[in-house]
Amino acid sequence: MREVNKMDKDRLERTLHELGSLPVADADEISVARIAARWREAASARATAGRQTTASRRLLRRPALVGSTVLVGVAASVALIVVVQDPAPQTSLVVAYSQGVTVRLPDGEVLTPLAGEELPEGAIVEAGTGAKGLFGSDVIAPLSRYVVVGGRLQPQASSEPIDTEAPRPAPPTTTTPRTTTEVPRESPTSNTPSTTSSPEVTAVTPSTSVRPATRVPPARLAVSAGRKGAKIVISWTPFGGPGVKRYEVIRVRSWNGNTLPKGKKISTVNRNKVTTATDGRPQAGTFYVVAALGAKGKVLAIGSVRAPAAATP
Amino acid sequence: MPLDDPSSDRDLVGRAPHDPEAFAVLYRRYVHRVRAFAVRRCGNTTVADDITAIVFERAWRNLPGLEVPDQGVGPWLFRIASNELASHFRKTARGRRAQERIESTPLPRVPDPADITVDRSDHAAVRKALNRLNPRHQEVISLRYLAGLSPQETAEIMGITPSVVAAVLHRALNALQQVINRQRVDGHNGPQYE
Repeated sequence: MREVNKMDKDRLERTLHELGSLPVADADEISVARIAARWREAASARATAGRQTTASRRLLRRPALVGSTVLVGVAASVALIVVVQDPAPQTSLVVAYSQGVTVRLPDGEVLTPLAGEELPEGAIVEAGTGAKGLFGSDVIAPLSRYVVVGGRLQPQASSEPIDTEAPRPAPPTTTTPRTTTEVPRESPTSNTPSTTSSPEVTAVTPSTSVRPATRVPPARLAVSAGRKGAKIVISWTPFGGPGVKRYEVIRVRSWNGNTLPKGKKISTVNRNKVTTATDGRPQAGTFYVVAALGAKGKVLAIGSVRAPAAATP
Repeated sequence: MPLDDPSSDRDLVGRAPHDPEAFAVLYRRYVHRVRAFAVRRCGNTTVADDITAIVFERAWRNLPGLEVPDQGVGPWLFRIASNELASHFRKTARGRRAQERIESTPLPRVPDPADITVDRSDHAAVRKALNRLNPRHQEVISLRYLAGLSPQETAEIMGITPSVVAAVLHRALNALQQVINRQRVDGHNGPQYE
């Protein structure tokens, strides 16, 4: 019977080091352009569908440009610029929570916003009696009207009565309709507020299989920091949405901008009224991430600020 | 702007949402390194290209909220790539089939006459076993050995302290060793050592 010579620790580490130093030729211009084309396709598909796609699905797709790599290669330098121009600058506004609110899109379509939905520039947000909502980091007030400008809500004087009971029918449009227009919506009523789990009718077009976004991105918290002697005081605006259980302030070296990072927890604030925390042992080159957490630690809103530099004499 | 100056990453990230050329500089600065990391990790250039594309797509989407550390966005991109690779091999049967193909066609490599102890079956065995570890263990091994990050950089990008990195890495290597040896005992991984 033959014995099996097991891999020991030294051999394992040697193999790992060798794997890490394997010579890999730089991607040629064609490959770089192909990567850019795939990225471009994934970005535009995401923007069009307005939904999360899994990594596996993205891997299964093959762009049409793969078949014409020579053409892509010739245009590689141009493609780089085109690619980075393609995904639209993120000036749209993401709905975190909405109830009793109606949105009129620039093309005239009227809809009831759903959590996770993006509103384009120029969309008009109308809040009826008893309306509630959190759009991005902006809280909706009842009986008010806003317009989306630069990814934020700007209050607008109301010149006509706000009526969320019966949205006006959309006028004929000449522009390309949004994906959301493919999803038939139930007429909103004041007694049936929209929620994140509202049962939407399935998409009309089978090929697109549009479904409502189920994952709500966290809203942005406005966070600031200032020095108080040797300490740093972190302040934030309270989250306006429902369900906040506590705030956590975390000191980190880097942050991906979305998820709750693992780092030194500076403070946990259990009341919504307290919106400051103090770091008694600040460190240079760090950030403070403040997160509003709901039940089961769900991140409802999050924001960050760079630690202010020590004052120089 | 020089391509090899990570200190300018923060400036580029700040400009990127409004200035296409700024993101193009970031892209050109890191695309080869991210792709090389993905190739080393999965051993397949096609999968590596896909993963690299996804990495930059995710990076683009997350740029507005990104706080850039002093060492630039490189470690962050490697972490995205590591997570995407782990997700890819975990969730897709296609990924598993691809891995089988990889093991039968190892990477071409520069011959090293001095290297007589480590053969290509070790590479395949390590990659295959790596895919069977939990995501955290995959991540720490990938970042330390395949991306070549220092313990400090690994700690910062994972949001833990260097001592915790050392502990996690120790456990990860033990787990990897166990998986490899189990594969060898079960005869699932080609030639055995004498």
